[in-house]
Amino acid sequence: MSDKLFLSCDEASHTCDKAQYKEATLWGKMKLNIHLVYCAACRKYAKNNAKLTRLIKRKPVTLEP
Amino acid sequence: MPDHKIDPNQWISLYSDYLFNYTVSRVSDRDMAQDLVSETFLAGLGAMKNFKGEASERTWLISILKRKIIDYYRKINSNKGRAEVRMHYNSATESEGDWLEERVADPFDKTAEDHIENSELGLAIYNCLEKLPTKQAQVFEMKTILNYDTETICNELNITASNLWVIIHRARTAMAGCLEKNWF
Repeated sequence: MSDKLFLSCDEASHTCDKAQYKEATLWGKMKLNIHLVYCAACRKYAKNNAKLTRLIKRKPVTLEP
Repeated sequence: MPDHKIDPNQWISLYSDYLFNYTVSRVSDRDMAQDLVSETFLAGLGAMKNFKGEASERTWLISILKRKIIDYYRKINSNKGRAEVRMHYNSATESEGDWLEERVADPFDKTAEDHIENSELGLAIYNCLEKLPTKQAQVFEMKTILNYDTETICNELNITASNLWVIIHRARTAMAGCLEKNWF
């Protein structure tokens, strides 16, 4: 990932996805937070993303119908 | 003395480690240090026009960071002050106080209702997963539900890591939208 302080929305959502699996780097998350300060669309995406993770974590889903 | 220029695009690569090490040796809490450094960068961005160029960028950022660290200690000290006067009405003896709120059933306890809700949730997740394209569903399932490593999945399905993240992103967007409709 590039060294810029300001991420594009694509980069931000990529970091956000990674963060859901605890695979984002320290500075990646920092840059994401900076992006979220001024980007409402990504804030919304991050919120929904976290919600999805929470829902799936709530119960170990068995996939047999 | 030459005038110093300010260039926020270089901050992360040039100073983040330096500022982080400076902070972590003072607050001895990695998460907090990380927060303080990002607050410093933000404050620096906000105050960029006040940068006179008399000191180097790094010195300037450190002086902001010092303020942030002082603020942090002020804050936790006032928290501590508040914590010390908190009443521990339940610690002395078992039944002293006997607060009504603590005698009713624990709302976070697992009940039959929770179990039903949980199995409905599982069903909703399963239904949404079924609507995804096969590849997306497969990757999402391996990554999110079975908790496989990125590497394992990449080797298994013969895709690259960035490939995987794109698939995951699409799957997550679709899943969030689907669950939004059927569950929330």
